[in-house]
Amino acid sequence: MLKIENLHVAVNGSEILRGINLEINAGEVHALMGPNGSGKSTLGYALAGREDYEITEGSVSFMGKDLEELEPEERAALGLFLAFQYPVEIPGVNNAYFLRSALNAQRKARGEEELDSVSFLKLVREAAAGLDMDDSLLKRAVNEGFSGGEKKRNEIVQMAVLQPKLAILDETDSGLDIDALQQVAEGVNQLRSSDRAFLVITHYQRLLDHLVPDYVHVLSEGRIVTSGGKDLAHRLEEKGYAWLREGGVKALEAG
Amino acid sequence: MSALVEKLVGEETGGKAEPDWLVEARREARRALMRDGFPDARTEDWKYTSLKLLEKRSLTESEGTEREPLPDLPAGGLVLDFFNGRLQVPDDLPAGVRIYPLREAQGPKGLVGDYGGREAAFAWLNTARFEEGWVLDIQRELSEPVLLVSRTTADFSGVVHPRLTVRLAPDASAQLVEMQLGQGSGLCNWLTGIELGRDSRLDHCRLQHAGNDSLLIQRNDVTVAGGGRYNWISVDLGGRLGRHDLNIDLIEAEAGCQVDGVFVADGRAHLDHHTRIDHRVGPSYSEENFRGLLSGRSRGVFNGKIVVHKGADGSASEMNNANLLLSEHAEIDTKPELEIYADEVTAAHGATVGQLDSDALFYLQSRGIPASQARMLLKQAFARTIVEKVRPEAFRDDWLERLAGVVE
Repeated sequence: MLKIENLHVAVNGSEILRGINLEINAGEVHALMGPNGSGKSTLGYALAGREDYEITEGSVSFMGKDLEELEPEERAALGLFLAFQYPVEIPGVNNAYFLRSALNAQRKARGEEELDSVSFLKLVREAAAGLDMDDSLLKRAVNEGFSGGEKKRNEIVQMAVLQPKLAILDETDSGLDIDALQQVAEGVNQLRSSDRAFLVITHYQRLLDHLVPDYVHVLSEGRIVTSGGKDLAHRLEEKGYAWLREGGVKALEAG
Repeated sequence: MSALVEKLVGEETGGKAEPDWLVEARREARRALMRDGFPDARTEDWKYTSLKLLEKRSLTESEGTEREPLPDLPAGGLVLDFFNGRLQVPDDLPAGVRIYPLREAQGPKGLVGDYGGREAAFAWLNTARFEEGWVLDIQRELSEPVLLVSRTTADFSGVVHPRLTVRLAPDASAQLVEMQLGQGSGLCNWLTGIELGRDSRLDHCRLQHAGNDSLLIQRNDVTVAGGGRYNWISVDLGGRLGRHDLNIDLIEAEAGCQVDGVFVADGRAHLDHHTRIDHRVGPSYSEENFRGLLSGRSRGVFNGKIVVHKGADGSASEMNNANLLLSEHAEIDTKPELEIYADEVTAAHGATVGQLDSDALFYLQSRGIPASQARMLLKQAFARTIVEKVRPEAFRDDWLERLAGVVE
């Protein structure tokens, strides 16, 4: 589904990602962990197609297409979704209207029929109810005045409505209390299926208790330094990221 | 005598019989115009707004076109229909409402004033030239809105000087919905006076959706007595040259006003808003939020002045002006001014000029919304936050629709 080969990405001229190799297949959940500044969010933005995130070397293909050739909206229509670490507030744009515009733009791009407002409302209400999100938030402006937890839930509601093939969750756990974390994880788990994949970017292991990954990768200074199964996340939780500086991967493996 | 004075002021007209006080007021207006003339580039309040278009256009005297039927309005109310400058006096007035010609008033008090020097030339011009001025008295709380429709025809190429004073008695309240829908290439020189008695309230929503050749110069002088409340929401979507002066005088304690405005300018439109709020006595309150959205070769001017006079202690005032400049050929000149001569005042003001938020743009695109549609959504959203405050809701929805039609 997603194939990243020797990916180098520069932001405003400085290189952040220095040769990422990663392959994600349908049905898999990958966790990407690593200390602050290792380039986790940069990978998410680069995949979603943010301006100023320049691919200087290597390649990314998604659903058989070269991502670099595609605009952000084309990537979305192809099934790529990024849950933002800091969802953007957009005063004056109604949340439900925004999501319906997004869904219908994607459907149109895929040659599917657009959804009428009644069917859409049913869909979005179900998604919101599943996440215990208040209906009133749908009538408000996108993320405006939402609490941190409400913003994160709103991201997952969008994901549930848009039904992407690959969802990248960028620190979706940050700023959530335990109850909210469980609800968000539950929302994601409901979307797990054999034809959908997830890339879960997180600093901490706690989300991964609820959202058990098939693979865990550790990112440091723009490279994946080690990969393993879900146990790797636990070892990281015990040892922190200090070993990256001290003895490298061998120190972690020795423990 | 400048060409503009000759063209616009013209000869004294002997029309309807008028009381001495009005004859004298008109003479005084002529004297002021002969003495000071019209503003030019050296007149501070007009330095960004040129009157060249008025000089260039022939602006023949208005001709008496036959009244066309009123366009459909989003909702009903007491309609004041100004057609090519002339009011059709409504047949049925609700209880507590009176409308009469200005010349039938007892005297000039509150109806004509000392407007000032050449910066006020158009108020003097209106005073010298208006055909028939009107007074609308509101004695109680109105359940239906007053709908002021000002329209000119596509062949309108003259000059008209509509004039209306709205007076609210103590404890009265009303909604005034004003729609400036001028067509043609002529000039509408509006003068509105609004007088709010103690503890009265007026919610005044104004739409300017004129044709892109039309010239509109408006002045709205408001006085608010103690405990009174004046709310003004203005939405500009059209016009070739639009100049609006809003002057609000908070003359007693606990008077307040809220001013919200947005102007959407495209093509060669030139829209100029000057607002002035005087806090004469404290505590009195004002809040102002003005937005400009400029594309094409348009030009916007915002000048917001707030004066907290000596003794207006404990007053609170906030002003914000935000502008989106969407084309390299568009221009905005913004100047918030704050003068404080009182104590214990809380006041804040600020102005920004920027482009569309790239974070928001990316967020929308990342959800599948194409860039061009995302830009349109964000532009509309910028203006919507103001238009959404418009009441009654039927007019809000109509104006939102008009906005969507203008911002593509």
